[in-house]
Amino acid sequence: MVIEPPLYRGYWPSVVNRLAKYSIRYMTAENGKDPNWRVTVLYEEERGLRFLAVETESDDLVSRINNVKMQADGKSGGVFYINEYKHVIVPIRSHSGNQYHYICRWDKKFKFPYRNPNNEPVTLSTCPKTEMKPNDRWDGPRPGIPYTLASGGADIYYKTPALTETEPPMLRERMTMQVQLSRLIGSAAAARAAAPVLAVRNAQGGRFYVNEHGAMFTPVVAGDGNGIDYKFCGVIDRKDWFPEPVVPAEALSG
Amino acid sequence: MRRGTAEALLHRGGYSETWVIENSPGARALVESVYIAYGGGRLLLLPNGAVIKPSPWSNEGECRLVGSWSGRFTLVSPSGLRLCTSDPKIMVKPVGTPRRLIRSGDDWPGPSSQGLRCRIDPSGALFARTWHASRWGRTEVDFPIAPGDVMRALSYRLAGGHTSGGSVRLLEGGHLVMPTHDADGGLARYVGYVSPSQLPSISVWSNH
Repeated sequence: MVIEPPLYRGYWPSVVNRLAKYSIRYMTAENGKDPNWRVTVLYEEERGLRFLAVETESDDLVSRINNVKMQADGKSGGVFYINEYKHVIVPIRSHSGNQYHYICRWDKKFKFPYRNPNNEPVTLSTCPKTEMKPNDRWDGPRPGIPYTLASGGADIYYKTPALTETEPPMLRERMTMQVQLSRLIGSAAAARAAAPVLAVRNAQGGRFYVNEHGAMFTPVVAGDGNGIDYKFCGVIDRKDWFPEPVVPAEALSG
Repeated sequence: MRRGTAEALLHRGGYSETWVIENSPGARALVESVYIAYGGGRLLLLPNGAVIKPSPWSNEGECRLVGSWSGRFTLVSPSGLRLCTSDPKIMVKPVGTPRRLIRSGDDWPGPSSQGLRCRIDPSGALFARTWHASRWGRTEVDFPIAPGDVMRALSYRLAGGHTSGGSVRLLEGGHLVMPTHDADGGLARYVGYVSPSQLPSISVWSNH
């Protein structure tokens, strides 16, 4: 019997682009062999969208997520997120919408083997390359947690359902928190945190994503005016960022 | 409110029209009292008769009940078109059809930016949102303003709304519309009519 993991006290990233999520899917490795439940990411390549399976050893993670999904939905597989604190969180459907549960902390780097359009083998990662500079195009997979650069470009916020202070936490029906970075760390520090995104976007603000490595990237109109490009904004400075949510002590660590 | 009149904006095809409240003793009294106390700004008229003014001096979501209204409420377009939004029966004349009563899914013939922003859920229940400042930013609370209603849920779907519900605007006369263009007052499709008697009284409303 699997005990339902507690509700996550941090940010629940609802309404997210489907390229911004990890998912567990039953599929083969890149070589077409060994079908199994794997961590995958939906990747946008020139030819369209395709799921890439991770080559990093992640059986423990897959099994833990599948156990929770099986208990909640009666089937394995499904979406999960890893945020900038490396917390793995899983949405579980309920009568009042998805509720996000904390699974574990995950420190390993995912690597995704892939054949590019020239049929050359390459390895994709969500970790920014050391030579990447702000405003460079973000070509890697895009799972991440959405934040909003506030209008004016000097603050960052997110909205998430409110929970009770009880242990375990419970959902406070019909109550939402808008959490503003400036309220937590002060206006000057929030403006410092927002500056890298402001430099790539503009003072109108807008959405950007932060992945498990702290990399920030944001959608902008493509240089040729057609479609959307994602631009790298830099890596978050953890001392000028939202405090890490409290999570239960755990056994599994990647 | 600005320039001494109460008005609502309609954005249509890249331009915007300013509709004003039809001149009447009541409209003049409303304009004068709010203009003197606040110097203008946004004003919300609810179907239950409440006149609400978001406080221009508060950044904590404070709104004030500044009065009540009753009777006919008519908006006038720049070209002189009149739309009595307090009338439960709105007549429209879609292109190529005879004049008839408005139906779910029809284009709303007037502005909608002045309405109360609400959320409709799959059961047809309506919720308005209130917020107040908190130590982390703000706390938003959805409070119910109309119970679930199968016909309203169906009308919302007929108007092109999503199965999981979404954003609607409740206009001063009780007409419910679904914005289709932009959240700040673009085009809207008609959903249906909510009788003011179904809504909470002003006293209940002012507790939120």
